[in-house]
Amino acid sequence: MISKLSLKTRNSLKGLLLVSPALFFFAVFVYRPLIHTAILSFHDWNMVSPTRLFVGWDNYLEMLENPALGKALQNSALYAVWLIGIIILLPILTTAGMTYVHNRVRKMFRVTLFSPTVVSLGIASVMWLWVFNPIGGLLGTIWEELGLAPLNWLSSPKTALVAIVIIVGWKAFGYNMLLLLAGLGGISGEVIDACKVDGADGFGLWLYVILPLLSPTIFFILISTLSMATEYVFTPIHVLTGGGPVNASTNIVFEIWRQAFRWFRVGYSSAIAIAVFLIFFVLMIFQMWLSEKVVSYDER
Amino acid sequence: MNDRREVGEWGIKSSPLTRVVWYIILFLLSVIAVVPVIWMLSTSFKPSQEIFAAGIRFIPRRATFSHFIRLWESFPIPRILYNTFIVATATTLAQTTISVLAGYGFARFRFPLREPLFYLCAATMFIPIQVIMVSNYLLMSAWDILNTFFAVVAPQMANAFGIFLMRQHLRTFPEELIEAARIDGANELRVLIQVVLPSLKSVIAAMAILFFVNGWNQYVWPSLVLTEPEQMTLPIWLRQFMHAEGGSEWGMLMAASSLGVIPALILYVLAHRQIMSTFASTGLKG
Repeated sequence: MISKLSLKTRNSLKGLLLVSPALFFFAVFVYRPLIHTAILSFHDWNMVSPTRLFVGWDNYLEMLENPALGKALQNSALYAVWLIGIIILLPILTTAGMTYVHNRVRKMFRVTLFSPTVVSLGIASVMWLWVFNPIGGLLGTIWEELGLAPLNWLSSPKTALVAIVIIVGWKAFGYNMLLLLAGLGGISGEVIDACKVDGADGFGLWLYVILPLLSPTIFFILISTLSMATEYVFTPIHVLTGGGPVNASTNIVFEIWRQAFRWFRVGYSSAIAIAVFLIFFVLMIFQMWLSEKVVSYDER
Repeated sequence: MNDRREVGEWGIKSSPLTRVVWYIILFLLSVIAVVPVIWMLSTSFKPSQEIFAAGIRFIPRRATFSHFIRLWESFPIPRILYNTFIVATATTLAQTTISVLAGYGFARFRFPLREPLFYLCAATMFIPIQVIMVSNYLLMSAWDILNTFFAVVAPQMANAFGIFLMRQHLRTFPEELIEAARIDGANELRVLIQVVLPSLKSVIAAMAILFFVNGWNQYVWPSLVLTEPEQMTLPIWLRQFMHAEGGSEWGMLMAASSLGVIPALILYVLAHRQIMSTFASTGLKG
C-alpha cells in the first residue's frame, strides 16, 4: 500500500517514523510533566490526599513572600557567579596556557584535567566530604599543618556554599575546557599567520583575534554553565547538606525537591518549578538569538 | 580555511618565563584534578588506625583489603553493582538507538514541521531535570512501578545531546552512497545499518561510552525512584550508607566510593582518544 504513495510522501513518512521514538519519549517524559506541573502549580495538594484544592495564584504569591525562597534565589545567583569564575574564566585561561606547552605534555594535561568529569557527582560528594574532614581528611590535615583553626567546611553556614562550589567546580571544569579546546582547534592556522604578518602577536593576538573567534563557544558554555550551576549543585546539596545549615547552601531547584518530598507541598513546589522553567526558557531564547547572530556572521 | 594545525603549533610569541609559568599552573591544576581521587583510593586501602594518623600519606604503610572484604560481607555489593550496570547498559542502548534513528531522520529526510520538531527535541537540554521530576515521579507512582529499572530508564530514553550529535555527523555523509544503496534495492534500515553507520563507528562508540558513564553515575532521578536497598544503584546506595553509619567508617565509605569510580575511570582511560576527537570534531555551530 505504501508503494502507491508518491516518493515525496513516502520520504516524509520515513522521516517521521525515524524521529517518532524520540518525539514520543520527549512528549511523555518532558512536555507532559511540564504541562502537568503548570496545572499542579495552581493547586494545594499533599501528594496523598485524593482531592486537590484549586487556589489560583496563591502559590506564586507565596513565592514572593517566602524568605527561604529569597535565600534560595540569592544562593543560586552566588553559585552562578562562583561557577562562572571556576568553570568558565579559569578554563579560558587554561586553554590559552595549553597552547604554550609541548604537544605531548598538552595531551597529558588534557586527559588528567578532564578525568574528574567521569566521576559520579554523588560519589564525588562523599569523596570530598572526606577530603574536607577536619580530622584525617586531606584538606583538613593541610589546614592544620598551616596552623589554621579546624574548619568544618560543610557544617558552617559561612563555608557550606563554597564547599559545594568546590565540588561542582572540580567536577565540571574539564568539560568546559574540552569544549574550549575544541573551539580553538577550529580556528585556522592561516588566520593566526595573517595576523602575525599584520603585527599582532602575544597577548594582543589573544585579546583581539583569538578570543573573538572563540566567542561562539564561550557564549555556548556560558549558557550551559548557568544551567549546570543550577542543576549540578542539587546533588552535593542532596547528599551532604540538605540545604543547610540554616538554608546556607540551598538553591532554587533544591527547593523544588524539598517542598515536594520533605513538606509534601506539591502545588508550591510546582510553582517554583514553573518559575525556574521560565528563567531557563528566557535563557534559551537568548542563546538561540545569539547563535543565529553568530551564524549570519559566519556566512558574511 | 583548511589549515587545522594543532593548537600548540601556532607559534605565538612567548618568553621562556611565560611558558614555565604555564607549565606550573597546568601542573598544579592537574594535581587538584587527580589528588582527591588518589586520596580516596589510598584511604580505602589503609588499615583503620592509619586513616586518622597525623600527616599526609598517599601510599599506605600496610595496604589492606579489609575494608573491601567487610563491605562485601555486610552489604549486597554484587547486587548493587549489578543494578548499576543494568541501569547504565539499558540507558546506553536506548539512548544510542533513539539518537541514531532520530539523528538520521532529522538529517536526511524532509517532512512537515521538521525544524520545529527538532527545536522541541533540542530545547529539552535547557529544561532542568528538577523542573519535571516531581510530575514524572507521580506518574511512576501511579503506574506502581517505583523501584523498578524501567522507572529509572524510561524518562531518559531520548537524549537531546545524542540526537544533536548524530544529526551533525549524519548531515555530512555523502548522499551518493545512500542513493547507490537505495538503487541496489536496500530498504531504509539496511541503508542506515550497512552503509551509513560503519563510517560513524568511532563517533557512536564515543557517544555510547559517554552515555554509559553518565548512566553509571546518575544521581538525581534514581534518588527519587529507587528507595528499596535491593534495587539501588551505587551512588544512591552510597548516600544512604553514609547517613546510616554516621561518618566514622571512612575506610568502608572510600572503598565503596572506589568501586563506583574505578569502572568509569577505566572506561575513560581506554576510550579517551575517541572521546576527545568526538568533542573536537563536533564543534558547536550549526
